[in-house]
Amino acid sequence: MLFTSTCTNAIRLFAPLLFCLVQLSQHAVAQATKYTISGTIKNKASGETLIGATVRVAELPGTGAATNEFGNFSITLPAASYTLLIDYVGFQQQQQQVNLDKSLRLTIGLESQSRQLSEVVVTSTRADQNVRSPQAGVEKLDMQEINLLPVLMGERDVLKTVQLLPGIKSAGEGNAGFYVRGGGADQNLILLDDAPVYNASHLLGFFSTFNSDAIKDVTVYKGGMPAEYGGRLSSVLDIKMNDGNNQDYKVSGGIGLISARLNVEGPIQKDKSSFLISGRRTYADTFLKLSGDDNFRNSSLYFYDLNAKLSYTLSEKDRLFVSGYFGRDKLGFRDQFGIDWGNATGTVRWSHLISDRLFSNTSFIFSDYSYKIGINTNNNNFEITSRIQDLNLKQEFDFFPNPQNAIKFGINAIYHKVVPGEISVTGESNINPSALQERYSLENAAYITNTWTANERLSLIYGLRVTSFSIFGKGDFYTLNQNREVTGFTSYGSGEIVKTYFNLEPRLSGAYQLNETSSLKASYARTSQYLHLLSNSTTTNPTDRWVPSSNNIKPGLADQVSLGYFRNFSDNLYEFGVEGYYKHMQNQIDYKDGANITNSDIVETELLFGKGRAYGVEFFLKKKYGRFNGWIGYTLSRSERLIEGINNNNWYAARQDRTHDISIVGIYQLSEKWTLSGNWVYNTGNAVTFPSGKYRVDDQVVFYYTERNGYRMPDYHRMDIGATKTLKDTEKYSSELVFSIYNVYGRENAFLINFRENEVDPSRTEAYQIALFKMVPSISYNFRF
Amino acid sequence: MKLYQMRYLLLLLAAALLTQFLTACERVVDIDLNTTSPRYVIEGYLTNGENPGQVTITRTKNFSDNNVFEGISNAVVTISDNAGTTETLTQQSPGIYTVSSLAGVPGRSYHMVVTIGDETFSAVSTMPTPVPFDSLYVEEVTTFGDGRLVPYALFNDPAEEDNFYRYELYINNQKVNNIFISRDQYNNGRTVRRSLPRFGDDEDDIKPGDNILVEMQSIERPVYDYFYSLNQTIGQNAAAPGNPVTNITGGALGYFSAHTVQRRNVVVE
Repeated sequence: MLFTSTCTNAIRLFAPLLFCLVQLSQHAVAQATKYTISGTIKNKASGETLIGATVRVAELPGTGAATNEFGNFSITLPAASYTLLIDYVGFQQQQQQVNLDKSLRLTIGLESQSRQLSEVVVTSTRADQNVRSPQAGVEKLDMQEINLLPVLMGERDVLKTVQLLPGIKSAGEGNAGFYVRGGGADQNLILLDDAPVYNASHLLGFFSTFNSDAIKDVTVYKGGMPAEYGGRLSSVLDIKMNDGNNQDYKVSGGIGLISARLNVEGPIQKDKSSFLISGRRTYADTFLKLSGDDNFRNSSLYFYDLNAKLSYTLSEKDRLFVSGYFGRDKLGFRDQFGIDWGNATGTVRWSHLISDRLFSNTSFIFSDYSYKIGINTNNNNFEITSRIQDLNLKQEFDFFPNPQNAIKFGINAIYHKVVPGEISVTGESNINPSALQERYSLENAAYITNTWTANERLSLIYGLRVTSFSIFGKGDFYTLNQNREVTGFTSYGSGEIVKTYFNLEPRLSGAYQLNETSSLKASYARTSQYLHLLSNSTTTNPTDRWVPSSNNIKPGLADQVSLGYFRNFSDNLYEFGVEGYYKHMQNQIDYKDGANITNSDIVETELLFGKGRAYGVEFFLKKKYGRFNGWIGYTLSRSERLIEGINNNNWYAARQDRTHDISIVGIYQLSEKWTLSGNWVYNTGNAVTFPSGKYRVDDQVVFYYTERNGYRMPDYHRMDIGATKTLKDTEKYSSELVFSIYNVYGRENAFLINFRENEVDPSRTEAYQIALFKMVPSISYNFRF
Repeated sequence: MKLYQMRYLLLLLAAALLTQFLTACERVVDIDLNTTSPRYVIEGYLTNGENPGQVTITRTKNFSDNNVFEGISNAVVTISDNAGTTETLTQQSPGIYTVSSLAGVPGRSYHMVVTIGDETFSAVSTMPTPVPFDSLYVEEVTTFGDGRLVPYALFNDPAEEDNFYRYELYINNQKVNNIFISRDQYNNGRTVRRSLPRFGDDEDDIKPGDNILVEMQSIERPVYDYFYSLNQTIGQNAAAPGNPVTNITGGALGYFSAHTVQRRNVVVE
């Protein structure tokens, strides 16, 4: 009821706009001498559509289009004969002659460059995309590049590679999250085929949930967020899964130290439909079974992932995709204690070409994250479950009125259900079954954005996103006083609205071409966030709790401006960028001293709210081609909070505040057979709260704290190296061995620093640190046929 | 992967999960901590038992100082009840002030006032109704690793009220330095078997012949909150490390608790 009414409202809102668009398109048609070339660009060998491939018109320099996330493009030109130049990095340029005397629909297949030519290509779609594109604060990763970099235990990892880019910082070892431009780990929207992934980590953050075999494209927006995205303050990590090969059956896979992977794809009906199934499971726990120790033999520790996708070409104008992800971690100690957690997502998407200039995408998206803890002891047998579940409907249109404008508009409605915690009794137990109250909410958005190429020099992306968030019953909602103590509560019936928030989020990003090789880019974006992640400890846990905005938790807001200078050298061989940003944040959450998040029935009483500011400058230099390529990224930044009730109401450093952050990445093709790679990272330690004194209470020495985040962890640095040996590389069969060493010089980076009484002399206290990984070598074998 | 590495990983993950300390790659480091101006620490209680009550006053020290905390002997400490009785506590030894005549009665509120120079600190605590401590027994539990002997406090939680408990464990008259608290959030009105496991080295394990003594206290919510947050402070892995939530006003650390006590003891067979 609520859902449909909101949708209709959104449509009503957009009706005049739609009308304008139709007018605009009719106007274009009325000139009668213009026709549209539209179509799809694919990888010829696999039938996989290519995202961000460029179509340029040789006769009209500066006129062109890029394919959208579904591989479609549209360009409208005066009737004439043209030569189209189609480019996608790693593929041979294709030229196509067209005689434009009527609208055309093309399907263009690009052939990949031969191995010798391609060397190790580390770049985005067009050689000077970084300079030309009006989108500021964006990074695109090449999957090939991800596969060559050394990683912990040989598990290729999209998330880990993203953290090597400037402005994006790892939350640290044993920590799943990452920080973008001073924002918290929960301020990143992670999308897998449009489905939000609420916990993107396996094994408590050592590995990510993204099996790189199944991934086609990774884009990160750290500023100037386009209007089609929203719901998080800091960034969007948009990950698209492969569609599956619709030409041939392909099998690829690998065996590493801790896991095995298998990826199978192929046509269901050649050229028309395809499937893809990709699975991964760690098998390290099988070694536990060999252990002489009962405790290890009867313990479990593993995770698995399953990605699947079906793609159908229903007609010339209709395509249907069904994709899904399912992953789970299991950790168990004998039959006494067990925890398992994981995500499930599903996306059904229908792409329809309404006309050669208006494309429609309709998606229905499901997302679920849950954990279950089972405890079986002598007299207590019970389970604790918790979940967050989304049902999400998205309707989006792409409209290409003329070569100067590309309009995107749409609506999105998400129903969130949060089950914070439920105890169910599974046997003899002294514990009562009970549950924290479930929370229901609806997050709606309508947006419109236009990419406008004003002239040869200036291009802009401008848009507006309108969002609303309603939290509704059934449930009890508490009133708190200034000290955040409960003064009363109101019970709401099922479907009754407790509170609705509205936000207008303007988005703007533009590039001004200074000359052929350099540009200035600026952006402004307001973003809002209605879901917040609360963690009971300094590290991330599967039990961290998602909490929706409510009458007591206001939605977070962020305004970010950025200004950057981008320049390419030596015919786009080198790419350089410097970008500064300032971000102002409202309604930022931090915890009261000694907050109890896990089993607090009214979690709002444990939180405090205030504002934040983050600013910094990012430098990036990249060598894109050649036998040696790689990049250097450096970020100088600051991120602070001002929250009443914390740090004596003074500004304090956010945990993710890091003054310096450096990443150096290099890949070198030594020979036909060997490729070497290495990376070095350095960052200032996180801001952390240490005691400044001590006292005795309850016959123990207790540490005395005076300020929040007033200290620093020691600097973090680490070098990893890797080598890939190609064993065989033919069309039919290829295989390789990948060696890597994580933390090659064995730096003991502090995972945590704690304080204790000296064991020998209990009259003294001392600080000690724990490091997780000293040097971790690994080897894995990959194949494809 | 080698077995020992796997073991290590399992331990590490299990440990991280249970927010226990890791012991791998551990080393003492030098951290330059700030010095602080001292703050008073007041630990006060009043009971309905043999030891009626005591207030201990000390001060915080710098981290690099030794662990000898000298008592504050120039304080004036009074406790009054809501039945009209006020007692000025006498100093037994430096910083330790004891109650001699004031009676701890369940249901009564007690007001502690500590004056040191021109500073005044005060707290109010109401003594809860005692919940009968039915029995104490020791049972072998194999939770992690080999079987261990664990004491259990057995009692019936009353359904009609929110209850908060604290337990002090003594092994052969030696107090165990673990904070044991519980509440009836998840087991209201049920028979409670509260395990009081001692975390430590194997040699600290309870053995046959040991004399186990448990003092069960009915405490009120603010005192529960103090010990809950004290436990977090000691654990050093909280979301926001800070000082425990005190019920004392005026800027002192510590707590004041009026609670009931019941003791049971058992000799391990």
